[in-house]
Amino acid sequence: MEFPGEVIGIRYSISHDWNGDSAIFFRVLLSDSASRPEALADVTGRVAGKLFNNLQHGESSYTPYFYFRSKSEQDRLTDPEWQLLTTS
Amino acid sequence: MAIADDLLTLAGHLSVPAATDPERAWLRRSISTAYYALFQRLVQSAAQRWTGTAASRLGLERTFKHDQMKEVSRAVSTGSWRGWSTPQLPVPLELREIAKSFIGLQEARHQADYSNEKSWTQTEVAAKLSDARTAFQNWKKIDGSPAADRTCAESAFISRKSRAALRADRHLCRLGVLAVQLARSVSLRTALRRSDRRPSARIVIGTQFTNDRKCFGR
Repeated sequence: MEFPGEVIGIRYSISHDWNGDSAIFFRVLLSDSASRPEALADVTGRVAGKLFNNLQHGESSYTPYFYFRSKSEQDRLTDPEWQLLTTS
Repeated sequence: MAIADDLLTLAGHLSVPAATDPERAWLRRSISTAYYALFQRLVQSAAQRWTGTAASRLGLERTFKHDQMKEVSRAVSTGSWRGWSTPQLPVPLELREIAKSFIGLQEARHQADYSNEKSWTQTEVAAKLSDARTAFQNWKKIDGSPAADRTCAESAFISRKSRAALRADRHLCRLGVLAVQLARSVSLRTALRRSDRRPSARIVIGTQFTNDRKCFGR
């Protein structure tokens, strides 16, 4: 677990962005405590940075995009795109 | 710069709708406004580097294209950006982070403006807004530094196509100057031959064109 207590899971899909370029969309489900306004910028910066580097973006033709949602928000919305999360 | 800062403030307000406000509409407008705040910050900062009149700077601002800025931002974010400056300066870390934010915000803005399928939550919007704010802070750190002047303002966020067009315009200006000098020389010789020292109307137009070359930044 890379971000214990902060990241509940990460799901991604490979598709095209709005400009038609190859893209990888990361959907990161955060704990409610990590989603607090005072913590959010720090957490999202670290998680996106880690994923960006792991992707070796300089050598990849895929543009990464990051979306963060809190657990309570997802529980309320039950958005299928955010279901079946893989544990990070 | 005021408009960029104002847009960022507005995006912040829109990200926290009251219970009586239509949340979906507010959140979507917040995303879109945050993107345009960063867009305006970069475009205005870059345009201010160019010499020339206020009107010419406004004209330059209109040459910035969203998709081309994304293309350049992608190269900057991966460190593969090679500017036109000689010698080349390393791309500051802050600029790479700004480029990442720009790309992410632009895609989010497209979804917010055009996609009715996408549901936005307050956390998603707050995260994007945080990216925009961080980008503003990073820009403040590098704004005015030699690296920013050389790699950002001069060319980094102007597309290759636009840059090539500007270069072509510059060549056109130089050709114009040569043409004017030639015309002036011929005209003056002709005028002297006619014992008339007043320049022709054609030379006046040419001289005006020569002055306009300032708008191309050199």
